[in-house]
Amino acid sequence: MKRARCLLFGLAAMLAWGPVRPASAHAFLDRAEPAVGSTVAAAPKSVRLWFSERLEPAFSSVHVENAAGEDVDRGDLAVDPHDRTVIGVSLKPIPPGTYKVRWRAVSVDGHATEGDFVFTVGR
Amino acid sequence: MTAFFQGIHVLAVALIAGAFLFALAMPLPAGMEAAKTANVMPKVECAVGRLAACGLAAAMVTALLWLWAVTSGMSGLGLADPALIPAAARVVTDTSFGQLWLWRLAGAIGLALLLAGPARRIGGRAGLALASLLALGLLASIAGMGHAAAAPDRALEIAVQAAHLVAAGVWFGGLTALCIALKLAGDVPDSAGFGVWATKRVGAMAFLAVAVIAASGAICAVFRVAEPAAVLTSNYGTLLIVKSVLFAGALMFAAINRWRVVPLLTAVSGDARAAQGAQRVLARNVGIETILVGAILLLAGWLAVTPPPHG
Repeated sequence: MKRARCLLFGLAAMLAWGPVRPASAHAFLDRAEPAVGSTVAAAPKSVRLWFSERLEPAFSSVHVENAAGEDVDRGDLAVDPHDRTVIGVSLKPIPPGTYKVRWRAVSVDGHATEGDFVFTVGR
Repeated sequence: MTAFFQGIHVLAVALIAGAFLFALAMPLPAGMEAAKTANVMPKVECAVGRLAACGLAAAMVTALLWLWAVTSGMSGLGLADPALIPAAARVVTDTSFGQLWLWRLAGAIGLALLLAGPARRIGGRAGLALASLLALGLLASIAGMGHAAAAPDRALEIAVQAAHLVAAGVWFGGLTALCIALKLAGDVPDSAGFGVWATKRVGAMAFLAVAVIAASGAICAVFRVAEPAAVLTSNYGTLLIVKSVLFAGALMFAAINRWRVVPLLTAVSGDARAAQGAQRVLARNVGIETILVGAILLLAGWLAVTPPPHG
């Protein structure tokens, strides 16, 4: 009984002081390539987004549009097979200008989040 | 909507699991001759079988509604949109939630086949043990469909959440079955003796369940809430506080039963009138405790769809 109690306290202490990374239960955008709000010198060939949780590709989406609101992505959305928190889409050749990335992320527990950001391709 | 369907689903599956375990853990000992002569336990098993059948029907209906609501959330379609039908099929075939949902459906169908015996009475202790295992599996697997599934250390979190759910199910289902047993044994000559014995047996199960609930609940809270202060400033924290208050209330009634009413019932067993009064108090307290634990399980469904404070 004493040993079981010690084990329980030990486990609780380990969890309380250990490097706990809490689950957010919703996938939040961690970073992107091109970065959020950045200006890049050369036109990127793809857009990749890193999220805080693993995603369900069947219901997640990424669209990239130009200033006129036309899609410039190839619609080939793919989740990184080695890391299901990373999602990306390849781009058609794009001229200098400002582009908006609209994303919708569904995490594996079924919760959806969405957002957008812009990046600029310099002249 | 998802929270409501998920909460009712958790409640229904917990009812099935706990009720079967109650029947499994309740062979009458020597000295319960009056209860044996009055066939109390076969009657209780029959009632538990009916209770489990109702729980299973509710679990299956709410599983479908839960899938519908989750599909609506994943796809962004309205709940009345006809396009939800193909979207639900995609959820089932293309997502982790859907695949686990399918496995659970297979388990529920297996349980339904076990329950389809004559008079819905589970056949023998082997059948009861199998039904208990299936029901516990159904309950534990809910852990793979919530926040824990998306966690960085998901294997550990799913295991802790599963233990939490199973313990809560054992407590709730055991209490519900105890309510039925106390009612069915009401006319037996030594109903006070039966009440004391049954309450002590369920109390032993509940004691273990409460220990697991407290430990796994504390661990889950550490997993979900990065900053203790966030408990006071987030919806998730508010729900955790309400759940903890209900838990404390249920514990209080359990303690009153264990250390006041049961000793009183034992002391007055020779006095039929006093024993009847104590039995009424016992039945009322067990009923209140059951309602409080049921409310905790409903809140568990709500917590599962509420985002924890983002660290």
